[in-house]
Amino acid sequence: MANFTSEDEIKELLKSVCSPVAPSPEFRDQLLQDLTRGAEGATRPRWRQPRVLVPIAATLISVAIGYGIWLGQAVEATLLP
Amino acid sequence: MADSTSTIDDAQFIKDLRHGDPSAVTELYNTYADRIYSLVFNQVDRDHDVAEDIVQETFVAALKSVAKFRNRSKIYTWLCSIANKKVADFYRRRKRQAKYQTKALEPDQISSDTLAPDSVEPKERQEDARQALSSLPLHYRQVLILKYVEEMPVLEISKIMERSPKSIEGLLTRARKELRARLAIPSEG
Repeated sequence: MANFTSEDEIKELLKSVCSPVAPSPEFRDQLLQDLTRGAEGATRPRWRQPRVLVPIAATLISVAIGYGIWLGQAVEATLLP
Repeated sequence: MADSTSTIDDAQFIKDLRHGDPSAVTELYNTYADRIYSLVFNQVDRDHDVAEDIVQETFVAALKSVAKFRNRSKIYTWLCSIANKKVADFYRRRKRQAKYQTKALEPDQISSDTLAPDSVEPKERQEDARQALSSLPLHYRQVLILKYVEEMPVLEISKIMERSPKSIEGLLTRARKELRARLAIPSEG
């Protein structure tokens, strides 16, 4: 009879107590769905996340428009006698 | 579905995971979800609801921190490390919220006249062993499960538990001794 004095006996005991268990299929499917949905947002670099990307894009567009206006005025000024 | 015992550790896979590739996320999940679930389930007194919450937290945390994963350990080791921390967080939270009184978690409530393995039926002995394991302090339980159930080498356990290999050896000796004591078995040496 085992006295659990050897490592093998402890291993056997713990393996019998901690047998492998699978999660329920519902939980499994739901979590996989949540993870794949959330993965892109979570692993995207910070600058590509919408709350960072949108202000950056807005700033760049504003600068481009501003530069266009300034350039238009500057060109107009040089063309005038 | 991927083989639950297989591992995926190539750099391209990690890269895909960092970019949020849904197929990489699915592969990670299919390869490791069951193993992580089992690991957690055995640490939380076989409570399915708690295990589900912790497994969810583990995978969410893993995907959030995948950018920091530097391939210094295996993916499974990294996931185990996150899962172990989440289990520890769970017990800390539970302890803080209420001085809970779960029989299985109260070492003092384990019967001191636990039957020796010779005198009990295998099923009863298994139940005693389960109770003895549940009654151990969490770090003893974790180190025993990683060593004997997961069959991990000490070096890998040391990475998961963030301790030196020597400290893990000491922890294992104390955990085995404590387990034997709770099973009312004379200790080694």
